[in-house]
Amino acid sequence: MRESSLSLVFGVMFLLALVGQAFAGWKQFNADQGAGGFGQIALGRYLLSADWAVDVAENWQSEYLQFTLYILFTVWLLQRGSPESKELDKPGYESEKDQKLGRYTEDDSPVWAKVGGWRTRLYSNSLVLVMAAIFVASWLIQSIAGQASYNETRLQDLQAPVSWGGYLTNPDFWARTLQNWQSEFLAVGTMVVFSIYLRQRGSPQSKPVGEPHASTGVEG
Amino acid sequence: MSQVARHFYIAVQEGDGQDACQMLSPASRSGLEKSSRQKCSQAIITEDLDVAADVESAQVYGTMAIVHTDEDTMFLSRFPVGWQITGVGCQPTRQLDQYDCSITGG
Repeated sequence: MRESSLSLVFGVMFLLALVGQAFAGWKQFNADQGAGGFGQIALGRYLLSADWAVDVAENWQSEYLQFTLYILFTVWLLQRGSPESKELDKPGYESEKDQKLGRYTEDDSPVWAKVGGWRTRLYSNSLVLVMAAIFVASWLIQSIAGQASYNETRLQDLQAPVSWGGYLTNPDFWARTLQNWQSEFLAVGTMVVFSIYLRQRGSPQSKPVGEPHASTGVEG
Repeated sequence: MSQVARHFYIAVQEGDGQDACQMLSPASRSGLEKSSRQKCSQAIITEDLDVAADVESAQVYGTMAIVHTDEDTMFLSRFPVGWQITGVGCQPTRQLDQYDCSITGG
């Protein structure tokens, strides 16, 4: 269990936060409904509502976009002094020797790393592909649930609903999207820069405490 | 909620104000009574509502619905007791996506 403690702890924290968000979101939704003279709903119905779905999906899509871009950009983009960056002489896909491919695979290398052909090419990009797929799916869910939630509010204000296509160009969709994107990009950017000059002893996200600021691609 | 819309118009046409008022949301009932200074069951019959013959379309978004009839548009909200009317006798204004309703109250 110690060897899986990182995923277990974050998994538990995610579930606790999601449950907390469900209760807080349900209370807030019903408070707004009551204040406007509209019908309130039970928790079970709230968890099936567009309001809940869009609040979850808009956060997920930005997190997976952040990881997609971070994983992809760090193949080619560099940052002197940051442990988040590769060494300055290694931009790009790197050699087969560095990546343990072809004749450099080991006995316990993943099967699709050893087999070659399209499967190795696919596996070589599997992390970005899966992250990007989850981003696209959750952004799509945000757009659909967001349209329904937005239209629910419009009907409360005696306004005609908008189509899904119309919602994709609506400020509500882009405000939700961009408010999440700006924070994700800020977080990655600050991590890249802060880790040049600041240290956390024992964390692989930090350089060793005594490592010079100019050292690049070194983890603690 | 289309059933609620049809039932409402039938009640108004038959002069059954009590039945019609039960289908209004609490805020709509209250709004009508305040504006007309009458009980809802009396005010709703004297309100100049176009009685619709046919429901043409209905859309639901969460706890809200919009019903277009051959005469006007109606807004409904889902309450624990079922669908109730939050706006009736609604016509689009010059801003085509904004409606003005004879009876409303949220």
